[in-house]
Amino acid sequence: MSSSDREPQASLIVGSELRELSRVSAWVQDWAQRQRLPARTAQQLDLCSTEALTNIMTHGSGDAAAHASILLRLGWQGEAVALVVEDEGSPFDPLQASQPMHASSLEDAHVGGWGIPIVRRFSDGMHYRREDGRNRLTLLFRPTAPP
Amino acid sequence: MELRTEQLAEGIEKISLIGRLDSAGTQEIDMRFSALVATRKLLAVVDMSEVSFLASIGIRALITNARAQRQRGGEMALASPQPLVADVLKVAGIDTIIPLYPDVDTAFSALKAGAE
Repeated sequence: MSSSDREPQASLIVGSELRELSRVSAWVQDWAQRQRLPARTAQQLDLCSTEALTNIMTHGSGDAAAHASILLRLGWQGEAVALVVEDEGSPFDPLQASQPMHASSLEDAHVGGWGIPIVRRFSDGMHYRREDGRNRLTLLFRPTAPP
Repeated sequence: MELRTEQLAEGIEKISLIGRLDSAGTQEIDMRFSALVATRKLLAVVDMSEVSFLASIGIRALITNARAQRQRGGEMALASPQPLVADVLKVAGIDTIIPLYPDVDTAFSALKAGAE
């Protein structure tokens, strides 16, 4: 697509509850379609936004910000799609988080903790900043033509 | 999210998952999936061909149920994941701890051979 087809940044505010994920996914897919992103890129965007938000929604519980809102922004940074996720929870840098190891048997397998590894695998860049009492995670995606 | 069951030959059961294994989808099928797979010994193949999306919450359900079945002495295999879903399974290392087959027929043959 030519850059003239690109729309200005879109944004969405959701509550910090898992039931909001369907709305986020619909919003992401709708944006991806309007930007004519390749199907694979759209799926990666859908997956990474789901995992980034699930992480905030499940790890943010227990603190005062558990019911605060999460701000999402989607736009272009050059040739990359940028998804920015901001929340008011406790400082949490997913780039520093420990990752589960692959188990050698089903008995020893970790059932959880796969959200961040998924984001790392399916995004093309990840940046984190703590600013003004907010976590700001930026995920980049470089659309690739289908093989 | 939908879950369908079908009795194949040799006492092997096919469980077809249809839809998105995200938070809402996993919640929709979780109780039935566990009731089917985790409460009695069986040989089951989970047909993933119509799962269009797999999130970490779905990974949790797959590992939990496969492990519960293994502890009962049976086996739960996965078959036919779509490309992105297959890649997600690999991120969690599931492809090396739960039997994963390219299609239901291959899974069926392997489960049958394992039972003999």
